Amino acid sequence: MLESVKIQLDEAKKRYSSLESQEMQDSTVHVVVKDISLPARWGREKVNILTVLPTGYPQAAPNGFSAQMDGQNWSGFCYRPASWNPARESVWKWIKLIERFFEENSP
Amino acid sequence: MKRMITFTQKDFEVAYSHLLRGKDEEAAFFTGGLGHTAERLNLLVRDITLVPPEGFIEKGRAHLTIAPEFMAPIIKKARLNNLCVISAHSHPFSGAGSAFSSIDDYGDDLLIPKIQGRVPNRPHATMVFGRSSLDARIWEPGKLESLQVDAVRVVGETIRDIIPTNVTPSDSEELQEMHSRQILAFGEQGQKKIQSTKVAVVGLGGAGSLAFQQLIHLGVAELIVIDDDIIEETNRSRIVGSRPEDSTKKRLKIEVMERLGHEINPSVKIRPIKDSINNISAALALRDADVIFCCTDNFSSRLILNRFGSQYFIPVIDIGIDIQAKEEGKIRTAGGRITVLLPDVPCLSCIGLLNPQALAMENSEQGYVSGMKIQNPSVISLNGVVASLGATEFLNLLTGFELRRRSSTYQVYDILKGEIWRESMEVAEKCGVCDEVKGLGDNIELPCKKKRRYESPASRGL
Repeated sequence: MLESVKIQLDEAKKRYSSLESQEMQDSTVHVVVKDISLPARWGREKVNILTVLPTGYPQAAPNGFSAQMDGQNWSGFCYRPASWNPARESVWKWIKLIERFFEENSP
Repeated sequence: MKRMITFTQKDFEVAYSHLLRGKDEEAAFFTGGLGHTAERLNLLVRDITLVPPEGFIEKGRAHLTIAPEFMAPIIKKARLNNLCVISAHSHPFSGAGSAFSSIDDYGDDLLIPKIQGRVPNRPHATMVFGRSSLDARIWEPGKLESLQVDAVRVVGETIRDIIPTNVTPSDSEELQEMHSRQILAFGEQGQKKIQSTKVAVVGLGGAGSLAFQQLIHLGVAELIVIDDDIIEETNRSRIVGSRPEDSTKKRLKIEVMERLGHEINPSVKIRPIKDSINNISAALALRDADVIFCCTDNFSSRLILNRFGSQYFIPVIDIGIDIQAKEEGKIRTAGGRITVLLPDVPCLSCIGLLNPQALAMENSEQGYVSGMKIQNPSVISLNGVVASLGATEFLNLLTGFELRRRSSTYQVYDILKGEIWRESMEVAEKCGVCDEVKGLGDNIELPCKKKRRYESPASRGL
């Protein structure tokens, strides 16, 4: 894993204390954040999310995320950032975008 | 084994200008990663630290002593990051034939064990710069005897190998009559350089097979070819050297290229690797190459080779062609691109040619349907234009013959307009990754999907 990605994960962890990450054999990094707050229309107050930093991150952008909408099973969300600048984006900003996705969309 | 020290052109110029700026001896420290295979031990200069006047205890026209407190943080940083350390000083009184003095030998006998004690798993080196020559030697981990460095490589718009004073230049490259007209263009030295350069071709499809064929005709004597695909009847229109039975017998592209290469030059050495560049072992085989041709048709291989070039200072000539038809017989878009990826130049990601979203799609298993390939148009003559431009970039890298070439540019071939032009690679903001991995070599893993935990021979104590 790049040193800059480790720093990004540490930074994100400071803002989302439940964040856990694991580097996988295929060079991806799985990031889980628990208890992300949801707007009332989603039918629950909080949700756990899983997002995968792809092989080659940050030159490759994340491609969607999963969430435990029923509190147990992972549902995939095909959500991609509209633009992605490897020099400026970060894990923290990506999780913020996921939060915004829930704020701006309905089930 | 070939022992090398490799600089980027910019770093070499900064170091040289400092070391030979006056009549007094000067000093500098270089730290960096390592590219280590059974064939090569390549120390990569990632960072340079020029010793300022206050960094010396004493110095004059023929002597210097560096303050230990100046060296300590450099060696500490090397220890923390497991980097090779290269101590360099100058002999400004020396022109050709600059070599280590007996005082240098004595000083290195004291210095090297201290560095080895702090960074035990890496080879370290010392260099002496004269005005028109240099010498260099390497200590392997735990060894007290030094070994001669065979070449100091400087990678910029051209690749320059400086042969240290104590190395007798090898003149084993025999010129052949078939290259006599080329020799008129590049001279005997240029032809010998072509013949002694080991080239890797990754991807042996339409563009890769043509680039491979041209490299053999040019006289390249040693190649690595990487592809895991077989010849199919539908790609025989554009894979040079392919025969009808190759598709019926499902021959590998690497086998067909091996046959083609030996038909052109029976003595050429070809190392075929049946694998994908997405596999770390195939990617690491490229450390034995001097120049790499990227002739694949996807972003993920470009991501790896783009990183590889920055990490190991091995120039990558990236050839891409894309033709899309809206319906049969009606081309919608068609273009080619030839980009030479060099350590001092912004990378594919910096200049926006490595699409982060497309990469994400490719990386995602959901993006593929097993066994299904998108069939885009492909035409041998159009592939031939980009392959030839790539081979010409290769010639320029070795000989610098394009005297009026604009530096830091890549070539674009607009097929529908029938035009070729150069675009700038200068950017306001770099991607950050290419600078982060610069010269780290084996110290950091490549972004391959299939990886294995590997140890370089150096990390096992050579």
